[in-house]
Amino acid sequence: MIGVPGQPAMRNSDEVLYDSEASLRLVDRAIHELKRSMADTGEHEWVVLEDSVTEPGGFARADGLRQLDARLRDVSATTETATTDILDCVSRAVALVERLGSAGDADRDAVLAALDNELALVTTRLQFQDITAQELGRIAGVLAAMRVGATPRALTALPEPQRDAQAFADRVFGQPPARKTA
Amino acid sequence: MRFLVVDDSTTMRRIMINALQRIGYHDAIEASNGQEALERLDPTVGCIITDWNMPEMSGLELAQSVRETPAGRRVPILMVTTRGAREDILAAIDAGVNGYLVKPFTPSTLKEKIDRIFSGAGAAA
Repeated sequence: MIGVPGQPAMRNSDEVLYDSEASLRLVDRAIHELKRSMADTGEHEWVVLEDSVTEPGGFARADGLRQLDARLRDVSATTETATTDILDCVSRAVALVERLGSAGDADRDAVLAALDNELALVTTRLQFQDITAQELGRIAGVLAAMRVGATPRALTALPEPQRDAQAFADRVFGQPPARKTA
Repeated sequence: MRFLVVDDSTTMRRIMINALQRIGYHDAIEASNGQEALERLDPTVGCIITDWNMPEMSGLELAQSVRETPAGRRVPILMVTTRGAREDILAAIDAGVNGYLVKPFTPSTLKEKIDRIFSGAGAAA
């Protein structure tokens, strides 16, 4: 543990990196198990789907399940990409730390700047934890609604993010507000 | 300038405070939902950065509540969220939000949005 006056004690970097990597592996494993479990129960799902399409709103429910499956696959892909990015950053950071030992005065600042950049990238990539947690929460909400006989509209209630969401927001927020002002 | 960072995820609050420090802002207080943010809001807060999806009181409800208080009418609000649907963005501006940042973000995009709000290019409160 590293102590900084006036701040809570911090854990050393080796400890944090080891725990982070272990946590990422756990998340990755849980998602793979979820995918495998869905594959195992595929036959049963199709029986349920065949039954459901004969009921009023059944086609919409089947479509809702397909959407949920696609969203889960997106979550899995996001997690995998973020995990790979973080591990790449860590590898590059470790290489930079090793280089720092033999760096001369002229090279030292450049190596430190590159190391700082890699560590910042790790922090940025860790946002996937919040993003996937929110997406899984929305999916769980729709599944819970399905259990109590949700309407087709509720099954398709997951908002589709816009591809150019940030650009659209920038356009909207860059314009004078056509709304109430305080 | 003091920031009030509002997010129910401890991880995201740490990431946000870390990003703020990287772009030169070292004074931040935290809240884990909108209700707690209202309790922590005082005249020393120069900008609110809030998530949308939170228990008890969402970021959207927080923005609406802040705009209804005399002390909160002029404090800039930056929404940082995973919600990227067109109707969400329009609802945010209608609630009195000044800037909108879709997660994931980088420290440089955060700086860009903060600069934009304080240069007056963002939606006025």
